[in-house]
Amino acid sequence: MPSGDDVTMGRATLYVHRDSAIHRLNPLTKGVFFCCVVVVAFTAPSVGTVLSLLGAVVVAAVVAKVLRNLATLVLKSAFLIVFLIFVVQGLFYPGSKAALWRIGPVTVWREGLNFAVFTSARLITIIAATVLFILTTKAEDLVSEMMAHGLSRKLGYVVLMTMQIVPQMQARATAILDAQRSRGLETEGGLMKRFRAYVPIVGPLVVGSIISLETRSLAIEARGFSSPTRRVRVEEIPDSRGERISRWAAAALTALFVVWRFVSWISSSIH
Amino acid sequence: MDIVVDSLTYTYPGQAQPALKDISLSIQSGELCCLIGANGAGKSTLCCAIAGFVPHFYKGEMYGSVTVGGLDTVQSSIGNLARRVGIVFQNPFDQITGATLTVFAEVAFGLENLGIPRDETMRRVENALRKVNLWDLRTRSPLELSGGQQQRLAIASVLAMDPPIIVLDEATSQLDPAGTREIWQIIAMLHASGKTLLVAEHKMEYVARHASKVVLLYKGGIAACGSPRDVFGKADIAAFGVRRPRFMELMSGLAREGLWQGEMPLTLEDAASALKKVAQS
Repeated sequence: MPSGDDVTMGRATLYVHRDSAIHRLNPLTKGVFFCCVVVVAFTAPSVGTVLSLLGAVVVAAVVAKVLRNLATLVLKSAFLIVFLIFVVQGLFYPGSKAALWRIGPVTVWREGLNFAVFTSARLITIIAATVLFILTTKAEDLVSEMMAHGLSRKLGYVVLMTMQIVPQMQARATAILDAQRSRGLETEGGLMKRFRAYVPIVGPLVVGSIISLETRSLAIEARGFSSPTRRVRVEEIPDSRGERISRWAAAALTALFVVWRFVSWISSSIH
Repeated sequence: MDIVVDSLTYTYPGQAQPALKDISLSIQSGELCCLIGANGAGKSTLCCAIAGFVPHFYKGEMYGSVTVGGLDTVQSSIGNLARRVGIVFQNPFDQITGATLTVFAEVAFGLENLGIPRDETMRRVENALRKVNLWDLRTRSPLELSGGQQQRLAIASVLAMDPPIIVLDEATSQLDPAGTREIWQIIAMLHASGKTLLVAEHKMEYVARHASKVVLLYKGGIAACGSPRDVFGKADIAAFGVRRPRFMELMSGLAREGLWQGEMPLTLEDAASALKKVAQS
């Protein structure tokens, strides 16, 4: 089964093609590990545990040769919220007693900063794990594996189609906008003018997309989409015994960790 | 595999007038039948009826019957009919599944759905892509192809499923002359290989050259049916919203003036030969 180097054109995907051990892992393995990282990061007792997880994600990103992409995306998506966490928690953390700095009327509290560091570490770890998963996993492979493990064919197709339809609708909207402008539609100016200008754009966009979807649904029906036969995939996605065992092991260890955290929380509440 | 349409009348949901009125038609196995007619004449609806989309997909009211190789389309599911009838639509872009990353995977999509074994699928996909001259582009994204290439990809996707009947619903209407020529070369090749073809088409030069049977539709009914020479020979064909190929108009004009007599040529080359004889005489 041939696969191109750059085959994500026109799709709403962040997948980056690299030849790496992480890319070659079965999508389900990556998915399970990703879920485990998220769960452990949420329930971890200390910032050290969370930072260890973040370290593991960074090492995986180095192995996958996507560290730069990961860093850029994590910074872009987490910077503002982390900044706000530090400002809000550092200045207004409830019950704070230990002042770290006083600058005029503003006091920065140690407890607030500690909480902000912990929360931010959790957030960055979860975002980094999510981004790494997306950067190294083709959505088509993931959905295909999920369909092989019981996900309905229709639901899987809807997920894949959605990824394609967003860029398609953007391109269609641009074409309609250009066409309407060339006929004298004014799209610049006040709020009401802009709002009025969107009516002749949204109409053709929605109608055109519905017609397009109708043709597509006919085309896939004509290609046996509703066939009751079990689907046989041409592209074999490797799923070794070792990977399957590691998936179960990771899930079991994570479950044990959550139980241990829950029991610890109960006993600390009692005492 | 024969197609038999018997007294077919069909009305889309919410419409007062039927889109097809009392259509009776028989297409023999191995025939290349072209549907011609103005927009709204019922060409696409008839194509959809033969593929089973009418009434399974569009619902609506249907009277009469359509049988494909003895199988009544109403009694069969679209999935089952897909093994007998492949269909290619007008818009090449809208036929791309959106679920695949490569040209190869796009062609394999239908075979995967039908549960064809992997090795068989690989072989069929390669054959289909070679037939439409897209094998070298097999690793490209379907979205990166030109309109003509996407239409050839749609045909390859149908060919891989190896249905005995292939329906092309104005498959060249959005293509440039080069793209149209490529599609008709493939149609001619499929006809020569014994496939039964139903082609809705507006480009009359290709219809006259390649069709073994022509059906002229007008306002949902059959206005004429026969060989290209019979149908294009109708004096009032323009009244049905169809123009003959230009060389036929020229030869008709010469015949009216008494400058030429003979059998109406069906290709530009034959018309050129006839004109040469006129010039020499």
